[in-house]
Amino acid sequence: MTDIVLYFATMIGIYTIAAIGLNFQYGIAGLINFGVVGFFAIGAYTSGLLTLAGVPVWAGLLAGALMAGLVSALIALPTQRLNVHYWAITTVGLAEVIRLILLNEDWLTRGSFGLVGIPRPLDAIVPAGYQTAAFCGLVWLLAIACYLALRLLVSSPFGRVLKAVREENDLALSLGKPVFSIKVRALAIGGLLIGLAGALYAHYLTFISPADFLPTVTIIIWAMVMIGGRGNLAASVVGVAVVTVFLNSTRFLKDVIALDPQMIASLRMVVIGLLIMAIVVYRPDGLFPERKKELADGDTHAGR
Amino acid sequence: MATPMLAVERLSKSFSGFHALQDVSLEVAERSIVGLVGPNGCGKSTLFNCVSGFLPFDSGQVRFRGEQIGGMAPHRIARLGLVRTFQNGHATKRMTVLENMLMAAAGQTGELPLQALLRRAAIRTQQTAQLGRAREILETLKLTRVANEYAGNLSGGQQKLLALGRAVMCDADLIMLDEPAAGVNPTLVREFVSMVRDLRDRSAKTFLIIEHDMKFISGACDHVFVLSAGRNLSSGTPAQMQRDPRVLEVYLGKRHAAVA
Repeated sequence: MTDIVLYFATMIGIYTIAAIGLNFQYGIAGLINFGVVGFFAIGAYTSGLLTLAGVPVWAGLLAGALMAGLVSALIALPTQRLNVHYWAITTVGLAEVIRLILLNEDWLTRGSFGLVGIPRPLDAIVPAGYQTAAFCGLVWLLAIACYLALRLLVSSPFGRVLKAVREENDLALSLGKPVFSIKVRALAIGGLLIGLAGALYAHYLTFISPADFLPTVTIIIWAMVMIGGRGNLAASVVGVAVVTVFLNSTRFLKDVIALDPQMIASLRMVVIGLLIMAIVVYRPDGLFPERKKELADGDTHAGR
Repeated sequence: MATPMLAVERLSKSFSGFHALQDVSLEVAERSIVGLVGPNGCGKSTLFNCVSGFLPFDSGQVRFRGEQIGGMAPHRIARLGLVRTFQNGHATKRMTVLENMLMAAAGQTGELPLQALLRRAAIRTQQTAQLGRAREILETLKLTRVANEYAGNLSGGQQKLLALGRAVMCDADLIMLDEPAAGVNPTLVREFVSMVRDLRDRSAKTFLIIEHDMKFISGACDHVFVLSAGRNLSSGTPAQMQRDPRVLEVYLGKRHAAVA
């Protein structure tokens, strides 16, 4: 029982980091990134490969996050003239390209065999029996740190410019804001978090392969953000919890519903699709929409 | 004569063969309020877009305080002190009026993420000062009551006022207003005119205003340029323009102009 609770807690923590990264890009800055899984994969493989080569895990996590952030920023350069929707389509393609590189460049990535035996952090210092709990604690520590940093950013002048870019690109330009470089930064910050989540995922499962990074992962993380509430970072954790518990429910449902387990597994994605449609139609801002920021005189609690 | 604040010389712009602007020239002197009028489709908004950097133009020159600004990116032009508004007001649905004002402030600390994380104390002091200034501006624009409302929920007229407020908050020296009176009730139009004149008289702002509302033009402007079919048609004081047969012709048609 403790095992399953720890499993859920850890996965929810990992996906929360990715979801708030996406929510920052989409909910705050209005950037529609449909390539989430690509950056997740970059984080996972970067950290996985480096630590397998002997680099300490903390450095691997950092490198995974930085690499994903860097690639996020770089894709902005050739795509800066695309409008919102074409840009979104481009990101789908980008994530697929990344997966195919991981699958085919087997001199580096071991192709479809994937990476096996990725070390877990803390295993060396934490006594046996407490290691999964310690990992879960590390994940949540990082998730909370990421959340607090993003909150500071959202309530800062940077965050206000991002929101202006989200609402009316030309308005921000007309008031002297360097919109393109602001977007690049928002992409990089979101990518950083998504990459960190991917790296944690690799170290948690200790085995990854390109099959872990199918486009469905992007859809799942989008569903988490949309259910929680766009622009409301804290609410993302609710969306993550709902979707994570649901996705793992097939283990239990097979005893209740008289269907082939494989069919139940496929039906999950159908339900996720229906859930996204229901949210778009009935609650387009999610269960907990972005709250209005009322500024009072003497409100010096910027960012709190 | 002193260098004009804004000088547009023989500006031309065509869209796949259609000449939207042909050799259009105009000048805006510092601390003046200049109107830009003409029938729909005569190129007024295109001229605004070219001057403010949102649209590249084919030939001609644009100088702001003597400096060439043709070809510059719109945000760089804005930073020099030339800020334009948009015809539709560009309402920000999910940002309050105060958030709009703070966002508009020029040269802020914390517009870059690392600064935003590390220079918390400086940002807090800055925000207190900005809030005070924003509230002062909103007071003169009579927007205090809606300061914490989403800008998207304001009336059309209030959104035009907010656009003016953002330009002031952004430290603009030349403010280009695109149809500030369109869809605004007559009482508010009169108030808008006096606000614009106040800003010129007390805060040394300069204005270039696209407008169809003749009451606005004659109430606010010192000088008017009239465009027709992408060319300069005439210019002079508002009173002169209202008597100019060429201007009456494009607005009312030839026969009516003869009668008038």
